[in-house]
Amino acid sequence: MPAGAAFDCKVLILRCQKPIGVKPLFKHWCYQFIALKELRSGLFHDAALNRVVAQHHSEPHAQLLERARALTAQQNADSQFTEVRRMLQSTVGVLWAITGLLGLSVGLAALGSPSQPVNVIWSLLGLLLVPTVTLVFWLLSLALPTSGLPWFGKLLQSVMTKWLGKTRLVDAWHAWIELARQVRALPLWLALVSHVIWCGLLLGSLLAMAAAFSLRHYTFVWETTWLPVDVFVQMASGIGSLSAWLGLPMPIASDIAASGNQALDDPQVRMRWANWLIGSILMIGLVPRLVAILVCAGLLGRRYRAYRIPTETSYASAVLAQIRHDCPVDLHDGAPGAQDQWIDLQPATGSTWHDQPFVVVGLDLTALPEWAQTLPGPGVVDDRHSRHEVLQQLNAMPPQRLLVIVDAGQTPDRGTLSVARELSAKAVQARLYLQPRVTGPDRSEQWRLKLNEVQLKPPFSAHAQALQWLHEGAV
Amino acid sequence: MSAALVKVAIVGHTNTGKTSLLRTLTHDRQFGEVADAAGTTRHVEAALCWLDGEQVLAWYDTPGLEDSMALRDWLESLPTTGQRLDGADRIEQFLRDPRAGQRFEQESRVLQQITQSDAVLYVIDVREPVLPKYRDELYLLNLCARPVLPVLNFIASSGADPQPWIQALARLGLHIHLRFDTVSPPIDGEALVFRTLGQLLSSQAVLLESLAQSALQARQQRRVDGLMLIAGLLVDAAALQDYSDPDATVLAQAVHQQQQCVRMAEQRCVDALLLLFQFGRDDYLSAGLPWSAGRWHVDLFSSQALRDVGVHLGKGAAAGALAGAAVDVMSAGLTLGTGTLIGAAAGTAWQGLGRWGTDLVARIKGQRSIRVSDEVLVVLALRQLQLLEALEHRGHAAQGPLQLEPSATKTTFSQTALIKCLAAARQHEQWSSIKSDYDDSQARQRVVLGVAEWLSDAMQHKTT
Repeated sequence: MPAGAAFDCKVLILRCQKPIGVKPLFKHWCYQFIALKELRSGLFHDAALNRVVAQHHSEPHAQLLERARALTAQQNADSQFTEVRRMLQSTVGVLWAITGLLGLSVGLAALGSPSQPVNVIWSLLGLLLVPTVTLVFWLLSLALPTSGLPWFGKLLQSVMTKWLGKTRLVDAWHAWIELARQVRALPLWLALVSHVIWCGLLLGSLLAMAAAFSLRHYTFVWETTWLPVDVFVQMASGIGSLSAWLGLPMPIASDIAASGNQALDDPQVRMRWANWLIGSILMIGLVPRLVAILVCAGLLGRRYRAYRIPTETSYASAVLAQIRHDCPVDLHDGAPGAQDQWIDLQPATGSTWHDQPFVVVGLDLTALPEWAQTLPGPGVVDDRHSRHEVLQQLNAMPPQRLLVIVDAGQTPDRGTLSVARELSAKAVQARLYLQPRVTGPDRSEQWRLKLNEVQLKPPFSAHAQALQWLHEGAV
Repeated sequence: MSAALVKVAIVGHTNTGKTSLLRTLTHDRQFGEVADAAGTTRHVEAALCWLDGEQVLAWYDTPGLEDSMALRDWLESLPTTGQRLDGADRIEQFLRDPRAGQRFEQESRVLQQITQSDAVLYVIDVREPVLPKYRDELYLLNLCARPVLPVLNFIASSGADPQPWIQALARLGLHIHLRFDTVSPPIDGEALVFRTLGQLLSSQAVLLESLAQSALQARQQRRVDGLMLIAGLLVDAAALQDYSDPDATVLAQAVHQQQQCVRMAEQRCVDALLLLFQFGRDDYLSAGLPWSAGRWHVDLFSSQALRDVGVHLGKGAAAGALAGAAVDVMSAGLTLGTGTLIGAAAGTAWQGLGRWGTDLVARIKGQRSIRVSDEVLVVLALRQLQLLEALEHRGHAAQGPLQLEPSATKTTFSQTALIKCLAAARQHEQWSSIKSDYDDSQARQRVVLGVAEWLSDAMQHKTT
């Protein structure tokens, strides 16, 4: 029976380490793996991949998973997933075997030398106290999330970290850990491993005891200095009642009473005590741990199945933004039209403006600059009405020279430029002056470019120059 | 695109920052083209907003309006053919006329987009005076009969004068407006835009409020993630421990190597922060402050860096090559090592094999342990906090240098409190992810969380 039970346990253990189908778990692992790399050295940008992903999947978490899976395949890192898993399984297997061997010696030690009678209560305490206490602590920690993590689990984690830390599998390993942490499964994994290893220990002791009882002669006794007999009868019967479910004969009250402080040599009594020991270890030690394994495995499976990648984290948002950026938005807007064609201006044949040879006009200004306010001119052209008025006046009396003052800080737009051209066509000669702003942007360069495009002469940059031109004509 | 998509057109005079506004709102540095010139955007481009994985709102970036005066003339001179034409009819007629479409090509695209949108954001450069041509633009928008939300852009720039604009808008019945600056946007600028839009488009108020909430959450999440990154860096640096023979040259080399590792770790943190906020290293240039092309200029371990953040070297601190590394002398028996062993045994059940192993070996060999000093940890913390704050306030449309305030945090930053937070990390050298075989345990996560919370408090005390 023990050997068969051991085999069943191992199969159960291996099955428990694959709680759900490989593919979803693999994709989640890929996501963590790629996230680790990208958070370290920036996002990978594969525009074609992003487009394919967005085309085939509309949900954000599906897009993230697919992208991660494809990137992992691109980097030939697929195998690292199974490599790490296999290493984990073999490490657990090795630890299990080691603790099994340890359990053998613990079991034998609990029984002691066959020349001395076995103190049943003391042996039981020695074997079951630590496993039971740790199991109780673990159950408590399920209820209260504290720092009490299972020791064997932590041992395994640090061993694997040390071992894999310096190899190329370091990222793959940390991806596993991070995934477990995200699914809130890390404590459960560590607990599962702990339970498995404790099972190994207990199984080892059981096997040792079974072998010892089969091949050696033991007598059993319970000892006390100051406790009454009844206490022991109650205790032993109570514990025996649990094991009675296994169908093995247990020591009866008279056997228990008679075994106090002296060992009985009756083969029936000895066999019953042996059954009692084996049964107690099984029912109090092993079975709870097996149940705990099943519980852990069940919870793990549920958590992994229910897990969805959080899409509001900054990393996920950055990746989704990248995917969306690469996907063309369906928008029906035609290509931009041809640039404006500016036809050649025919300058006017001039006379004078109210007996003045020159005129100054402000264009899109709030007011003429101080130095220009005393000069002849219709003022400022800013709205449709003033434009109409001024053009009419200039039509009637085209001057020799026209200076158009514009704001150097404004962006030269099509409207202003077309008005500037219209005004220029009303004089024999026309030039522009860029009035600089006291504070704010300066767009003189843009003005020069645009004025060149619309075939107007380059503007003056100093008002002294402009004044000289106005008064003297040539520059 | 789904039929329920809310469409918002972003219009305005040319070169007022419409594309920049969209870059800032969408955190996309590469949206459209931005240049300080007229006619940069030449066709309509869309950017989508997502909520719970669905497209819910589309921003339409339009070419600028350049010749509204002439267009208004055209519209007003339309022959009425015996019927009264109201504003919307005139616009319709304009859009149907191919010749007009050719003459006013850009304006035609914009008006076409407006008539297909649910609302309009009208972007104004408040550095410009209120000229009649802008009034003509608003007149045209009015004709299209869509709710208009004026956005007063460049509000934080020199020369900005919003008052005349606010008055002009009020005279046209536009009393709700948005103050914005695409270079340094308000910290919850997106949420502000959505909420104000919700006031205007009451039929979509619920959706816009959800978008605002989502933007706020995303911003808070970015801050939390940023603080966790910085906390992780600090824990890594605090926990880092190297061993070296006491020989002077070997020691100096070991110190130098450790310093290199810490510098690289800092750079990784910086890159991760930039990724978080969707910026790139090449986005920024230095501006006389020790930051350029995504790297700090001033060496982390120099006394200049310490001075920059107001940290003073303690008495007896070594200068030169050993600055920034605290060197312990370890001998067998009663030293820091033993003290922490006892503390560790009392405090935690299982330390991890690494610490016991190398500690013991080093002690036997009579080696010295090298760690990063407290001052350097403070410098690290302050520099990264400065960067985080600058990134939070930085708009994606900004094209100028990133100005980092020379720490206003130093006065309120309690250096001793930070060192106390990191005390646990000092005791666990296996927590340092600078070494690849680090132990990513629950305890480490808790300490990182604790440091992040402390940093968050420090940031908030500074900003309030």
